Amino acid sequence: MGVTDGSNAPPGAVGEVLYARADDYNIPADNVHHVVGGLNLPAGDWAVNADVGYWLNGNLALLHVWIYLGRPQSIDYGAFGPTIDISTYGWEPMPGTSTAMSYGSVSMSTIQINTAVPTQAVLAVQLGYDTVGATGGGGYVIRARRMR
Amino acid sequence: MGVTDGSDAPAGTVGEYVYVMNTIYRRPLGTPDLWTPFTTITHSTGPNAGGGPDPNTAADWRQLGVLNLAAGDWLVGATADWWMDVPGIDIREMSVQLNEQYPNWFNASNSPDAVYWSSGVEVPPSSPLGSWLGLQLGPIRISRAAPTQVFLNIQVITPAGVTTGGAQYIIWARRMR
Repeated sequence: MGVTDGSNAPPGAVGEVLYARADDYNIPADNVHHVVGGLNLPAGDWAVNADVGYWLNGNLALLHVWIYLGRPQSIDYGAFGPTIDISTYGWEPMPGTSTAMSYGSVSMSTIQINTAVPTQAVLAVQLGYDTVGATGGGGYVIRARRMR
Repeated sequence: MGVTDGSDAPAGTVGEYVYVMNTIYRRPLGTPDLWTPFTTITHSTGPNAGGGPDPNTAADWRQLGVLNLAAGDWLVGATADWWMDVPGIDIREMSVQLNEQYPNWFNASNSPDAVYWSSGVEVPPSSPLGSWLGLQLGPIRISRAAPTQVFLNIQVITPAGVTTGGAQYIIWARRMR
């Protein structure tokens, strides 16, 4: 039988859940990747995902959200090795064509992070603008579950 | 205790992780030749989507990748991004799907138990999506007594009538029990 008392799995055990969240991150809408949060992961085999909300005080012209490991984002799956994949989501209208969608949210699909040493799952957001000087922000939650 | 040595779960055991993906990512605009070996979508004229064909035909669907799954209980997901090769050509519709029944894209009646999962977005011509779009699928459960295959398919439609570009993708699966 499975656990039915509502308790959490203890650290180091299968089923352990870690999470981090913020209700209000703020970043400039400058077409540059900004780290908005992260999750420190002990060694282990983790399933990681995130939900990210965003807003912009102007017309949103680009959105990109990543989960990656604690290293510079290269926009290249290959750079992350064969067993560590990043989760990515976004869209990029042509400049000047965005007419709405100044807020919203995305769910980042689950990825595997299997590591022998502690690492960090990093959450990054990139906002673009068609209003010069726009700023943005939002909230997020990033979570991990030890799978085995 | 959980596994902490960074090892992968052996094949056939809980936690086994399998995937297929392409690693092509960067390419400058206006150089479609870099993508030609991987994916080129060119659709014909038809009644829908600014000249696109009927989406209920397989004409515009292209296969991005195939993940072979051994018998078992799997959690399966996918991510696919698409870039236009031609600057100024906007995506008007993009759909991706996970399907066990290639090439019977939408005909689930052929196999009611088959997995079919899709995600997509379509906008009017006044609000084009631009030259790049990423979509995610799942995760979904696939529990099979025999080996199966999961196909990741993509359809892209533009007002211009010709859609060429490139995509990156990953299909992944984790054995759950």
